[in-house]
Amino acid sequence: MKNLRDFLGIGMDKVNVVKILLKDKKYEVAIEPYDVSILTIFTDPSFVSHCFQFKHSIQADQLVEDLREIISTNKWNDFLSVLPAFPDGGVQIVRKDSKSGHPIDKSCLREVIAKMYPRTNHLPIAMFGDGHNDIPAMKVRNVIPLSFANAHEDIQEFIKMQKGHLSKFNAPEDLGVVDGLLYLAKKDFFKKDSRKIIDLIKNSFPNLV
Amino acid sequence: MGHFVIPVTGKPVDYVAQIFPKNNLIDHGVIVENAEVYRQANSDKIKVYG
Repeated sequence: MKNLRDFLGIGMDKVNVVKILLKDKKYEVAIEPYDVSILTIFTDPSFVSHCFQFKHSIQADQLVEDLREIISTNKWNDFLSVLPAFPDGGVQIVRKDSKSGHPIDKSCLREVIAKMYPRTNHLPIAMFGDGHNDIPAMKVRNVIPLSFANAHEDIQEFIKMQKGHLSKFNAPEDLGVVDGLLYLAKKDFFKKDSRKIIDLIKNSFPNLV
Repeated sequence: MGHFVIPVTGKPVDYVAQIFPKNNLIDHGVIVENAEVYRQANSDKIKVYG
């Protein structure tokens, strides 16, 4: 990551609004200041104007393409991967696992949980998500995927294909999460607590059940 | 063990700090930066995965 950051002219210390160098041209972007391991670059100021003020000088898809070319040209493919652009113009560069060679993304969900809770095995997992970067976690074996009416269209398509649960409600403002919990309870995801959860939702949201 | 809510996000760890108190949830840890970084329950120590 350091080599890439040096190549872009931002070193390890430049964050917030900066100019990055791509193919001899400079572009104004914002760099997420609190990232520890990944690199997040915001290209569209309209989505992050509450934090950063800068000119919209490069499209996110163009940045993804250029970064992938830089990584390939410099033979950093074994170490780094560029995720598809986010709808808000964010672009993330992630590391690759040194053993598997796969990008470290949410597909590592089960392995990370195993690190957090080393004495557990084969935990049942349900994943609520609304962005395309949630899809890798939802592809993990035996993870139940759930999403909402206002989710990114890619994830809605994915949920339909995977036969997960796509709520007719939005989230987080509407009842999307509660509806998802009800779906899980009806599938007995919560085992001995499933009935209690159904009753609780029934009492709190009578129109939902 | 019970049922745990664990935030899983592409954002940095600071962004999810308020999730637990705001929603009256027990802190069972967080997974951030697209699963490259995690923090265990009730710990201040941030760990990098992989």
